[in-house]
Amino acid sequence: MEDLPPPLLLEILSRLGDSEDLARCRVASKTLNSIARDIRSINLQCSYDRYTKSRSPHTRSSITPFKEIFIKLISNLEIVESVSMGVEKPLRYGAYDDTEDEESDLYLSDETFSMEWLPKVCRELKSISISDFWVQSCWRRSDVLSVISSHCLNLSDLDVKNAWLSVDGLNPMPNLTSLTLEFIRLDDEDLNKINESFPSLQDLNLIGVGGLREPRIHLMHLKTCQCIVSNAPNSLAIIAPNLVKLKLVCVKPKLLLIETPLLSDLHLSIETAGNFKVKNLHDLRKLHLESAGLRNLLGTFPFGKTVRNLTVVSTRWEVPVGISKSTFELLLNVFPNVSSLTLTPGAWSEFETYPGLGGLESRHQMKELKIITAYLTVNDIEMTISTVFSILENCPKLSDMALLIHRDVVSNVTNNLISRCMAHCSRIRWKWGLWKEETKDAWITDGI
Amino acid sequence: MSSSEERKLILKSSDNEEFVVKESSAVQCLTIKNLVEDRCVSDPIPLANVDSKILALVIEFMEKHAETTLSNSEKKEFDVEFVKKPFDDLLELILAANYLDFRELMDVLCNTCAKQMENWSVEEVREKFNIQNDYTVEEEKAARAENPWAFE
Repeated sequence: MEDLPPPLLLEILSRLGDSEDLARCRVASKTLNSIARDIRSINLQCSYDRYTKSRSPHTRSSITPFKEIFIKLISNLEIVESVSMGVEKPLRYGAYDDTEDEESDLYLSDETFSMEWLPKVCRELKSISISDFWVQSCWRRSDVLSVISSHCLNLSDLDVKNAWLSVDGLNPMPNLTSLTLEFIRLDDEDLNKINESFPSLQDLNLIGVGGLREPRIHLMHLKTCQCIVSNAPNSLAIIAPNLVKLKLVCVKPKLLLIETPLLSDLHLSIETAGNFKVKNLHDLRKLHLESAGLRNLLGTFPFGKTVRNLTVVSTRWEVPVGISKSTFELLLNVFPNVSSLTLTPGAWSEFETYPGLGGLESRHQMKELKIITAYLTVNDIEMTISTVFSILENCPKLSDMALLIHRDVVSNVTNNLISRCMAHCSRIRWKWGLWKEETKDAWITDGI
Repeated sequence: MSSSEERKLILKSSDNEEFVVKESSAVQCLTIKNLVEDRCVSDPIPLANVDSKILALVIEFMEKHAETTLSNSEKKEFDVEFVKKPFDDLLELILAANYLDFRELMDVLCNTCAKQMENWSVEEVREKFNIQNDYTVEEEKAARAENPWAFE
């Protein structure tokens, strides 16, 4: 076999996930050693193994301190464009023996430590990712954002996890286009400093960010946003004229304001919406709606006409009162042009019990449905089958039906369901699968 | 577009085996695309650096990725299975993907190799890449001493 020429070796080496693997490659041959110098990224993760060895009295002295390794790596490279440092999974969450760790050897968002390496590489640095050791970082407030913003003028991506960040001394960073803050305590209650200092952001991810009171995201260039907050914020506002994709997970904000006229993909998970103000979603195509108060939410959602792809998750069974419409009928009222509908277990169970399908009105409402995906629990096979058959009758354009059956359902019941459905209607493309809570969905290709 | 309108190309491997492919799939390889656009297409197109075993695999990948009916996640599922091959084959495929200038295949292969190299020892790197150790004993010792933490 022909040997790989250096440019191809560089292609492979530059994708190595850990600088430790690269360090060993450098010892393999002089060629690899010189190629390694052209790599522009550092990726150093502290393994659980290294952590325990550094704490045990026998091995402590033979282990190089993590920060020392990192500084050494920085000094080896001419140009550094991307830096990623962190602690491996078992160290990120979970119980440790020393829950009170006074040391700072793995306190990675420490601004003093960042001053040891940032100034050397800041000129070409484009991407920083720090996944800190919560046990050492949660009780120390860090000014690292100030250090980064005063040195890294070319930075475009910033990702910080598991730290307590102050926004004092944060300078504007007009080149930053992507910001991720995950499990962060942020001292910027209303996100004013974030909006002010990162005006060019196109991608913003705030996941499990604490310390927010009345957060308001106001960014002109934002295209994609993920905002996952706890019960704490009083209100939440997102004003982003160019936003196309939004994932919003909140609990019970008293006021929720969404002003995103170009939004086409929305994932909204909310327990109950107090005052829910949505302005002008004329381009909404894909919607994932998850709520314990689904019926109320549907009542206040005026922008369903453009939605083509709909997923509904009902986290609490709601019994329609008197002659009020079933949830399914409500859905089709609000979203008459849906061509692909996904019903998760709660939503399907509700639909089975209160289908409300009957009469010309319903026929008219389901005319656009082409694909249905549903998660079935099959408590009563006859009920499930009659529901499936009535959908088939009422949806003239239906071409695909993808049904996932709960793994705990007895296999002969599953087989029975599958064969009766497939025998009943051959014009449909059937797809069958199995689902279970906390498990990945699995698809069987054409029944059993 | 009916199938009779589909333009076909014939690719010939280094060991003289011929393969018929759709032009629309083959132009994912920029080397072939340039030949087609410059109207320099001979019939068949000789690929001196790719043998039939490897060419067959490249064509398999190429045709899968050209299928417009497949979703991105279905293509990813295919990729996962496609790369389950001996390391040597992956390296040969990389050489072919480079020669044909097939970026998508290159990316999938290089990412796979890098992933497989996790926690390899120095000896494994030399063996799998078929690389000679050109360090003297002292030089190698010095190289190891530069980054002792990688051997802890």
